[in-house]
Amino acid sequence: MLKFIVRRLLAMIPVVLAVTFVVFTMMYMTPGDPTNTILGNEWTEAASAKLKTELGLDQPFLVQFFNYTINLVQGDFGMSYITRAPVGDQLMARFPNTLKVVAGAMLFCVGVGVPIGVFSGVKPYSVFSNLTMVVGLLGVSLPIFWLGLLLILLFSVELGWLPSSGIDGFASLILPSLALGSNYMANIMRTTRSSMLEVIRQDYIRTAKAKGVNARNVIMKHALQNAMMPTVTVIGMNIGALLGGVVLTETVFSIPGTGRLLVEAINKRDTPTVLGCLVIMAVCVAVSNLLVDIVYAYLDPRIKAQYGGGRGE
Amino acid sequence: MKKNLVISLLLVLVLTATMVGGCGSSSKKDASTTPASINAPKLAPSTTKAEPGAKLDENITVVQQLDMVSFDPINTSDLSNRYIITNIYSYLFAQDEYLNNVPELVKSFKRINDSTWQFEIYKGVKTHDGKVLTTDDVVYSLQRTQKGTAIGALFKPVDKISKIDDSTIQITTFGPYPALPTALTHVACGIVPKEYAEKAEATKDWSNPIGTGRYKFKSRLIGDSVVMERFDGYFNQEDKALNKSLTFKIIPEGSARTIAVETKKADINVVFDTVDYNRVVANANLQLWEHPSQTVWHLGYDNTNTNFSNKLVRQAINYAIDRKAVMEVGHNGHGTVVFNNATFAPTVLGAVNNPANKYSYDPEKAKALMKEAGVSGFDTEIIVFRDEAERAAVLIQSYLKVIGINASVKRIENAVFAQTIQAHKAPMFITSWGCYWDPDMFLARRFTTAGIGGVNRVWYQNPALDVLIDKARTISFDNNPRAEVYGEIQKFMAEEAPEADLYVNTMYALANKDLKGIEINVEMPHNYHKLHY
Amino acid sequence: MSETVTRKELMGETVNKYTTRKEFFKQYKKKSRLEETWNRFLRNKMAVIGLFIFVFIMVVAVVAPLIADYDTEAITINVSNRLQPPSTEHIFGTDEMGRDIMARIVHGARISLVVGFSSVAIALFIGGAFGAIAGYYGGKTDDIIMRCMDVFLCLPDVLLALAIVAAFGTTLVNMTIAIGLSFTPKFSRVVRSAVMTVRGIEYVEAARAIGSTNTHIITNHVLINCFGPIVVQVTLYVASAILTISALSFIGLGIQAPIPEWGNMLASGRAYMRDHAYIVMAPGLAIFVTILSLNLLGDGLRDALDPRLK
Repeated sequence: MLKFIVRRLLAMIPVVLAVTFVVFTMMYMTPGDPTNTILGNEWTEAASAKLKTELGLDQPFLVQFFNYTINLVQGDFGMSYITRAPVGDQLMARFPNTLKVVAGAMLFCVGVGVPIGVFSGVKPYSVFSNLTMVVGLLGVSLPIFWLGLLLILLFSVELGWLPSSGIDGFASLILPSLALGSNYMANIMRTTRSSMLEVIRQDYIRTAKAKGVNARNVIMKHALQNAMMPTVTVIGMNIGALLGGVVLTETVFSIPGTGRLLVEAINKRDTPTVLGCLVIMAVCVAVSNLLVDIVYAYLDPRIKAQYGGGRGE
Repeated sequence: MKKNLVISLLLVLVLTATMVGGCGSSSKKDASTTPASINAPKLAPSTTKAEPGAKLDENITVVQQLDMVSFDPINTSDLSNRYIITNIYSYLFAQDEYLNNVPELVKSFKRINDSTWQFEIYKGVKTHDGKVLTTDDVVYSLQRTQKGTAIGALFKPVDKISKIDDSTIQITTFGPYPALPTALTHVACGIVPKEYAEKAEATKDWSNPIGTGRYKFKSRLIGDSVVMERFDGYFNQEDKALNKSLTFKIIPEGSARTIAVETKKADINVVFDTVDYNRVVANANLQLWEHPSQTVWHLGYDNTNTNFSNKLVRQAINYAIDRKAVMEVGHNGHGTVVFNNATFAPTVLGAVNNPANKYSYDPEKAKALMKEAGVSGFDTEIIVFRDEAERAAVLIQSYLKVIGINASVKRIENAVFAQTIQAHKAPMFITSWGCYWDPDMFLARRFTTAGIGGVNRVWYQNPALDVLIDKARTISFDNNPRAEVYGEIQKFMAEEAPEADLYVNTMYALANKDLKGIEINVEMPHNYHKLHY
Repeated sequence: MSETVTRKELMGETVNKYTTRKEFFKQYKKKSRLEETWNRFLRNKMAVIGLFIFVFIMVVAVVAPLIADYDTEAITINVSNRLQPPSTEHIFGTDEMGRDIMARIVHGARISLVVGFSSVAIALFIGGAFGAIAGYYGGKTDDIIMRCMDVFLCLPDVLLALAIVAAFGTTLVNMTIAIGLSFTPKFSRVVRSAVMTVRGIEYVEAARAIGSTNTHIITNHVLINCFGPIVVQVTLYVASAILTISALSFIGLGIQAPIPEWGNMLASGRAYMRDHAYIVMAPGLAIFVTILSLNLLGDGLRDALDPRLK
């Protein structure tokens, strides 16, 4: 098992590197002179030239990228053009907020989506199942930002139960998690349902039932584990989408997170901050893919066997 | 299956209809038909002393719209910045209700002759890092202010700043400068200990400010909040902070700020969005305070841009805009329309609302003037960085279209506004300007050569105007002759029309009903150190 | 009691209907795949509803100028008319500038649909080309191309589009290209797997045996048979593209005012949402219904093309 994890970790590195390269290239190609943004009122030819040398902006492209990467590995994201403070500080201060929202959404997705999917998979033609399919369809089509506004209208403005902005305390996480998670919960629900349906039709389930195994045990032990695999894949794929959606959620709910930082930085033309945000998001996606792979391997005994592991490794 | 889908869709429709119906009945036309309120807005008292039994150790949360820019006092005159950092740094003079001067660090001062002033500074003023403020620090700070570009024009009449002894400094000016004490209230004149200032300048890092003000800096999350704690070593214990700490929260969304106060997440909202006016006025748990303002919303243009170099075009624009409608869209009608072109708010010394009775909403005249100028039309851009300005810009865009000007609206961040102006990338822009009562405080900075690189955002320079401005400053230390000259200036500017002033919006502060010590000046609610329960 | 059933009775009706053997066997002739697929599609009620709704939206977008004049109703500001609740005159009410919301929604449909289709077209051509090449040639080419695409998959759609917008600015063309590029990796995967499935099939081997060039095979055989899965993905991605452009406009990095776009209508109406909820209802509903119909359509197509997948 450990070997598997290590291999995957190593495979992650070139991908992250490549993403950094792509994003760096895009930012590099931005038209305009960054010294204008940094120096602002104090811009002069001389100061600009001096600053360029200081920041290494006059170096060839690959050298700049190399320097950036070396710094990145040590945790140095460079200096913001606008605040002239380390980008890393702001990123680290705001990133936990983003994580909170994403975690909340994930919790909602999995905690609600999976059980509902399982139940409606077990009883495929019931009213409940039909209702879940409809809700699933609607959920997938609802734009996150509109849902967020509607939730604010209902729970903050009309009922006054929940706060409409900011992040302090558990209550303020509820609406953002709901808004962000709705699309993906619907996805997960549908996938779980269809994979449950698929599995239940299998022969080995029929065998177990024929043997007289308790229906509940059948579901929990045999069906669920196998049905989880496509679900786990879908969950993994959706983390990337969640990180994309978190930008919208943070805008609607005024949450000080990395998503909003990215939008503000784009508006201010603060390239190092934009780069920093994008790199962090990409790393998140890569790490979560890795985690999904590990969970998948754990669930699938064939892969476990391949790496000669058992739970004890 | 199909049945379920239909039912669910019907449910969504019913829910929608309920919301629409329910909210439709409560929406009325704003502003002009204010219902009789149980909570009518009142004028704020101008001085506050704590009563017995008051709670003086609370944490007060203030919400505002825009984030601060920098703790470096000479960086910007942006309002969102000023009202935060004036708590950290002390000033020679603080601002009163009409933005006139009130001594703070200055114990006494005298004017030795027309161009020499001496200021006695309090002794033993402690800094946040345990040292004592010296007149060297004061001189250093003010010299820094003088060298800075953002408000350099403010100090144009100032010649030398020097230390006389351990408690006195001297400022000499080129000719009489009656507004000097008021000039010293400007945010850029914040007194920073020399040691800290030198370090911060060298590293370009002002993020942990050291000052002598009523509050010590605690923490900042950019784009979200600033926290500061009461400094118990503050030199003037008669006027110390009446609360334990201040938290400034940034909430860009207007209704969200109101909701923050309604739900008691914040104590006071200092940038009240008038869209919620009817709602809060009827809410017994809130207080809405109002104050006439000297904040002029205006449409400026880059006068060096060939499109605007023709005076007739600039005048045409003045006739093309319906200011009342712009005020309706920008601030839901809460304010007063002005037809000035020199950023004179109605309550300012010598202000004339419509100099020479020249302008009005007259699209036909505007078209005629464009024709006379021989300009059939052109493409341009309006730069904005606030919601109200954006709405006003979209409306003005439609008025300009009528006279052939195709303006696109571009929204940027307030942090880069100054640079956009500097780079001549703002052919037109809409923003607000908070006037001092003394016009000298803004005229030279906004419409002369000295202001270029600072707040002369319209790039307007005219030697004839320079002469008039100097005259108004030096003609007398008495205000009446000065007011007359200011009248002349406004007539001159009406003809030149370097910008188009739109309206002055009313200042509001929305607070928890039990919050005391609310003070508002003509620019914004201020003196947050007075807030207590 | 057993009845002897004569052959004639068994085949009774059927035999009498046809006069010749040819006609008799016609009923067993294999219907064209298209016809079969279409029939399956029609049997799926939800998919048909989706189709109808989407066609309706397209028609509305096309005839938008006939429903509401662009300049006078969607753009012209009428301050005295602002924030009117829905009425017979203004079905969805008026916005904060006094403009008729329905007129703006109808014209907004044009922008959403144009951006939606163009960006997916870009993704299809570029991604499709790469995917087809990777899938067909396999081996090293496949590896290299797919690794490149994987890199882009690490960045969620919205973020990738944001990055491109950050670098190059927010014009309509840039937005379309940005969204198109953000879908390219996914599209290439879809096309690649479709191509790989088809590649093994006999007629391709047969074509090669005759000596057709690779290009000829790709264009004439492979791509045509990939049509099915690609159409499904196109539908679903158009929905995504419309969602993305609305999202970008909502955060202010997309279509700018005063051009009516559903996303920026939501953003500017938001300040008034407390007392005038209708101002955020109509644009949001528009986005929702469009995406719903496309999802229904896409799902229906997927089910119709391969019933086994259900």
